This record gives sequence, structure tokens and C-alpha cells, in this order.
Amino acid sequence: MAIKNKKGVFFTFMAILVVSVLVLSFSSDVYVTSKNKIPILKSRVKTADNYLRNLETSYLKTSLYTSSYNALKSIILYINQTDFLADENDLNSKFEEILLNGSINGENIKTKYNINLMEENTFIYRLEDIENMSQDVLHITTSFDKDNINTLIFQSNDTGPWQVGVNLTVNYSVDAGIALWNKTKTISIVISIFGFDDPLYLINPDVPYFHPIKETPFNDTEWNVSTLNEHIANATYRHESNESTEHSPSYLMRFYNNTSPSLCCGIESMINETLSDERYKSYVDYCFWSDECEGYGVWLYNITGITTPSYPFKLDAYHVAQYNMTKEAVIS
Amino acid sequence: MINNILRMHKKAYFFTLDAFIATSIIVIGISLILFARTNKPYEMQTAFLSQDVIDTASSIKIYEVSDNEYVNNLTADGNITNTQNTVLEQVGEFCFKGMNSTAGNFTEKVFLRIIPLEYNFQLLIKDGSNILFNYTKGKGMETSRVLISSKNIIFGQINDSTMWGPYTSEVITWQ
Repeated sequence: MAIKNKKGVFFTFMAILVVSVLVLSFSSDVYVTSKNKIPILKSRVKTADNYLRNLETSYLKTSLYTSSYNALKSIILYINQTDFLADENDLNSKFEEILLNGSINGENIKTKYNINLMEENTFIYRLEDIENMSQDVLHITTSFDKDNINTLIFQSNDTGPWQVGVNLTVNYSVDAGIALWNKTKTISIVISIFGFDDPLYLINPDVPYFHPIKETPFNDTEWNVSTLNEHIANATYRHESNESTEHSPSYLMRFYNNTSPSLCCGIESMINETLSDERYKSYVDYCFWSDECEGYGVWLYNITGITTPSYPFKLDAYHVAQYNMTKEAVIS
Repeated sequence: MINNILRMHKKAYFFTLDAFIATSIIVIGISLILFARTNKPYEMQTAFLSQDVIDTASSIKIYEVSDNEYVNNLTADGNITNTQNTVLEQVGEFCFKGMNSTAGNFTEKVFLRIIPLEYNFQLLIKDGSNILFNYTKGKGMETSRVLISSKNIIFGQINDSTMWGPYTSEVITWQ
């Protein structure tokens, strides 16, 4: 009988043991902890991934666009207060310095030239803003290598005559704790030049003349006295779309007073009555202020229907043909 | 003999009691497990909702809610200038322009369509620590047992020369 009693106790302990193991195995702590980790990690990776994508496709591009737009406006105001830039390299280095730091030759453009367009608008300011914000809001550490940023402002067949391109290359890292990205990114944007002032008109006249870029509505088959008059009155610009080598300079070349031809991006306007004088020059803007068109023919021509005593408008032989003025041209 | 019978009776009673205790332990154990498990999805749902709301508002563009009459009117009036903005960016842009009452109406008309009725929520737009915009739907935020917050960074462009942000957008949901 004693043995049988011991068996009963044994089975009771066995039952308690089995139930205890079951309860422990499925206890809420163990179950929920492991189950909950998955969505948290997934959410963290997703947040970091969304942030990185947003940074690359949107934030850096928007920042570069607005900063470049203001930098280009600033450099025009700087030219207006000083003089033409030295050359293409000078344009690039000054544009880069304004874009990144809002300064020229190490001096703040607001303090030195009273140009405040870059105030809280420099590209570096934007980078610092997002570095702080990503840390504070998402607990993601973003770090840009601000000492090694390369920029280039250009016009080419890709941009065409009415836009300028800006390329910027920057190295950066994004550390989300569970994942780290080290990247080198080249950001490219294009800015329309419509509305930007032409530096040739700012420096060449005795008093700066604000002559914003507007495209003529006429194509090269539509020129006659009437359309040319409208072109002059509306102060519009024409891009030469033919294969000739006597093209006008591009918009960016006008920043450093280079009047040599730009095959991809040359644009030209006509000197209006306000700026006209008695000089014996073709009234195409770059010809009027340089010797670039000296080789375009010995004679200059008055144009019947445009030239008047108060407006001694003249064209060189090349442009007489370009604007279809052969019948109206009279040797001046 | 009588003693033996009494012993036999005691044994049956003992085993009945034993079975009862074992059953009770199992029932209590299972109840504990079920109680613990049923509580969790409640929290997770609220957490997912908060994240889902901010993800949705960060990805749906204005032109995609063109069936909303209020949004159409804002576009026609020129208050919404870029229909490529996301819904959250549009709220940020209203805040940047100081159009907080328009931002409030816009939030009410657009956000309430994507949040289930039984949930309450708050949308905050902050510039650093400065709260630019606060929209709250529902009460009991202070006493809620489960309060989940999800954040995102928003920014945008007004015109060629002006960029706003980055701002913090925060969605808080509770039941």
C-alpha cells in the first residue's frame, strides 16, 4: 500500500512539473519580447531607408536648386557692383564659394557687398540643418564631408541655351544604428535663365542697364522688319539654331565678357534706342560692345523701317542675312 | 478490514483533489497566457496606425486626393500651388505661409478620411522646438493607456529662390 501512495504523489508532481514547463514556455514575457522585436527592427530599417531616399531624391536636389538660384542672382549683383569676372575658372570658383559659404574671397557677401540672398540659404547651411534634424527627430546620424564638395556650373548641349546646369559632388554617411551607408553622390540640377539679368548690359553701358533674359517667340524662318522691330522693342533674345560658326556667346560667357561663339548655347539681343549712340558698330549686343564681329563684312547696313536719325540701328552683313534683311539693308 | 476500506476511500478522495488541483493549474496557466497575449495587439495596432498615417500622408500627393471638394477649391483659389506636394508637405507649406487655419481645415478634411473613427490623433508641425501647428482630434490623450508617436522630416519649395523646412511632423495616435 505504501508503494501505491508514493506513485500517486509522483504523478501529482509530474503533473505540476508538466504544467509549470508549459506555463513557462508560453509565458507572455518570452513570447511577446521575441515577437515584438521584429516589427521594431523592420520599422527602424524602413524609417532609415525612407529618410535616405528622401534625402537623395528630394532634399539635396531642392537645396541645391534654391541655393544655386540665389548664388547665380548674387553673382550678378556682385558683377554689377564690381566688374566682369576674369574667366570661366573664376566664374566656377566664385559660384562655388557663394553657393557653399555665401562669401567671395573669404568675405561674407552680405557684409561686404550688401547682398543678402544667401542668408540662411547656403548649401552648407542646408546640410547642417538636415544633419541636426535627422539626429533630433529620427535618431539617425547624417554626416556630410563639407570640406570636399565639388561644384561645376555649365552650359552644354544637354542644358541648351536657356538653362544652366549645376553639378555638385558630396561624400556623406548615414548611420541608423542597425545599418550604415557611406555614399558619394553627384547631384545635378538645371536652372532656367529667364528673368536673370544679362551681365553685358550691366557693365558695358555707362550706367548699369537691367536687361533680363527673355526668349524671342520667332524662329529663324520668321524674321522680317516687323518681327525684328518687335524683337527690339520687347528686348528678347534669339538663339541661332544653324550650324554656322559665327554664333553669339552663351549666357555664362557673358559673366566673364567672353564674346567668342558658343555653338551650343549662344544667345543675342539687339541694342535698343536708349543705349544707342553714334558708334559704327553692328547693333547685335556682343558686336556692339566688342570687336568680335569685325570680320563679319567690311560694311555695316542701315535697315529701312528700323534705322532712324535718333536710332542709328546697323547690322553687319552676317546678321543682315541671319535676320532676312537683305532687301531692307542699305550701306551705312 | 474497516481500516482498509477507510484507506481506500481516502485514496479516491486524494486523487480527485489531485486532479482538481492539476486542472486548476492548467486553467490558470492558460488564462494567464491568453490574457497576456490578447493585450498586445491593442498596442501594436495603435503603433502601426501612427506610423501608417505618417507614411501615407508623406506619400499621397495632392492630385491623388482630387476627389476631395475642399482640396479642389483650395487649388482653384490658388492656395495650393503645387499639386505634386504630398499631403504632409502641403500642411507644412501652409504653416510656412502662416495659413494655420487653412492647414487645420485641410487636415480635418484629408486626414480624417484615412484614420479609423475609433482612434484619436494629433498632428504637430515643429520648427526645432517651436510648435508651428497643432491639430488634435478627440480627447483623453493625457489619460490614454497607449499613446504612440511617429515622426518624419518634411520640407518643400515655394518658388525658385525659397525653400521651407526642414520641419518635424509628428503624428500621435491613441484610443
